[in-house]
Amino acid sequence: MNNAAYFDGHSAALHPVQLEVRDGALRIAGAAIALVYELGKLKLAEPFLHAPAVLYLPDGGRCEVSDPQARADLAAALDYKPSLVMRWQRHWYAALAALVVLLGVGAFVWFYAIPRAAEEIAARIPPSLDAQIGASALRGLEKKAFEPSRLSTQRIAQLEAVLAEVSPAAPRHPLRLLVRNAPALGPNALALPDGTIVITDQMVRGIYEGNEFTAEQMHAALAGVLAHEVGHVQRRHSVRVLARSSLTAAASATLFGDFSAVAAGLPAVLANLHYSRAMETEADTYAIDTLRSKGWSTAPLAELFVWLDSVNDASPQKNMPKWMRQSLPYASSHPASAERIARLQAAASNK
Amino acid sequence: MHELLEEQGELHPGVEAPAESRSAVESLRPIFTGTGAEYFRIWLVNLTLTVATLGIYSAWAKVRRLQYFDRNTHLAGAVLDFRGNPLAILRGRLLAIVMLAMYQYAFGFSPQMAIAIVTALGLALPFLMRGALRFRLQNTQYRGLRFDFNGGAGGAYLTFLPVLLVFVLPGLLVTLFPGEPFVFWSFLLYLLWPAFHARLKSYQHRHVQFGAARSQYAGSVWAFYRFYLTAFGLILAVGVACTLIGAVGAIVFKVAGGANPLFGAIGIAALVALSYLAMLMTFPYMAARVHNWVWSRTSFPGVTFHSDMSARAFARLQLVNVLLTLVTIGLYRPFAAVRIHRFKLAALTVVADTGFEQVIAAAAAGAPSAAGDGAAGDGAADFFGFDLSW
Repeated sequence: MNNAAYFDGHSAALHPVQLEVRDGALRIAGAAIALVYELGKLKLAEPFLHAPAVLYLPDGGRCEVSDPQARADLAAALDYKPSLVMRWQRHWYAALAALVVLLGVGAFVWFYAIPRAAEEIAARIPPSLDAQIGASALRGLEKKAFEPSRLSTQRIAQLEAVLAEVSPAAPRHPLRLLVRNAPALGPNALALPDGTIVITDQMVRGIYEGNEFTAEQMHAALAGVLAHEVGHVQRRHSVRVLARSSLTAAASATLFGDFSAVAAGLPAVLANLHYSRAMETEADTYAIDTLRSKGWSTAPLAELFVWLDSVNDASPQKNMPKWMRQSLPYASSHPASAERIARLQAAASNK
Repeated sequence: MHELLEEQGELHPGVEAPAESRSAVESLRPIFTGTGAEYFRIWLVNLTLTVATLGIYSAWAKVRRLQYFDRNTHLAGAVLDFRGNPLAILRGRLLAIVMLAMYQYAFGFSPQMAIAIVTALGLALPFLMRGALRFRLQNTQYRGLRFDFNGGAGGAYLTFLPVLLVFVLPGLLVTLFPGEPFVFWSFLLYLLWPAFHARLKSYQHRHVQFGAARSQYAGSVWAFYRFYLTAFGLILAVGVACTLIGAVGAIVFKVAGGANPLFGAIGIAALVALSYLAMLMTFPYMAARVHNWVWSRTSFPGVTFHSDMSARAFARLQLVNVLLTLVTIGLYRPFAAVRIHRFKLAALTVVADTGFEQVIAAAAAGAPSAAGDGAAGDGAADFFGFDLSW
């Protein structure tokens, strides 16, 4: 009875043969074929349910055994030991337990290993790179969003004086202030990694004209806004975002890369949005600490946020149903303003 | 080549095949015996180990995945097999990540840097792609014989450089000459895309070798333009239909007195979803037609292939696969992979002029010399051998 197909490795001809294991050796017998191999030199491939068993011979030949009984006999005769991985996937409950392990490991990597590695990498990126990134980001903004400021030189000098007040004794990069008219951005302030802090005319006008602040409150609100941006520079947020987004992109491409580009890109974007929120909170903390150390109130900054909120509410978003509006902050790169305002108010009240 | 092998076959008849099958044309269909349930467990364990090792296991996972699919693919009493070295795959993946990172930041720093990186990628990528094709085929076996890929380096540059240009030239020109209007003409390169696709398929299917038998491919560029135009037409038709429905909806909305803006948002979302579904169906539709066309024009001496996938059925299958994969947050993916593989194989017919055993014995008659070449090729595969494809 022939129970296997033998291929000699030199021709594609299929030779029907009979396999027999006797005296520590495998005997292959067929028409004009009589071969003997030591059992120790044979290798059985990973078995699959409906695929033939594949036996690799030391001279490049192979046998394929289709009959389920013959497959079992061969594995027993060769004393075949499936690897740990094969035993794991053999049982449904064990394979499904992998799902739990997968979620656990995934959470560990996502929430701990990648951020940790990103911090390590960011710490090793030379500060000279900060300047390069900052300069190229500013070039882009000047071209697309910025126009020269329309504020008076006295007002700009005033702003520069406030920045000097909130600057730390040893800043990571020399800080400089740019004031720009930016209709597209609206009231806003941003920090570039090279120590450049940009505040828009719209934000300055909001502080001096949009709210009914006293001179002291104006000063505290402005100091709060600038201290928040100094916090971004001091904590090196841009480089950390860069390191982290590169790592998450590489990780999701490795895992989901064969599925689709959308699936591969999405997790990286979501993770970075979350990261930004953590950073905004960190910058808020820096601002609160700075204001407190000078003995200035954080209440005007909270009021400024309320005003910023009302300006944003004038946007088309306002027409959306309430449940949609509330879910939006979770997908935005800034923490829900209500949370931030509450935090600043709390800081103001427990001096 | 064809005549030569037939002559050899007659001079040295291989196995004792029955007289009637020696002369008769024989049609065979490959069979796939893998199941979604079995592959699901392999996939899940692979994925878990890949995540746990920060991606390093993915190379071993790929070998096990290819082995599962190959060893469950039966043709004429034997199965395919894959014997690739996972370390070579790991090497390829590390290289791919480095190149991806270079490409990501190529346009961020300076024009000189962008030119340098694009030039380096342009020189390296075609060579690496050819290496990947060789790796895949040299490690794929059938009936104890290896496949091989004999496409030359020149052909690789002619094939992959234009593809690379389509992807990076517009970006490079925008970086080098920002704001210059002529830069936008470089986007016209996309019109040549069907020709590049045809060229790629031709390079892949013309240079396969099994034992000593070399593949032949009779393709044309114009067929690819036809496929792309049909796909473009389908998408355009759906786009026009959606716009019309949207316009009618907007008018009705206005007449009704602009009740709740929520209805408008839902309507727009529904139309966007509809056009996205149309895209989801169009790409597999085109892929199926390209697949049929390319395989039906590929042959080995004495063996021809014929693929008759129904493009509509394939598009439906892919749509269901995508929807179920989304609903199950990815867990349906291994089932989908098995269904696609089975669908493609079921549509393939292998036709042997003079009986399959007869033809395949003739193909192997030149195998000793091929094995001799292969020994040298093996060393090269060890040195340059890695796999870039995921």
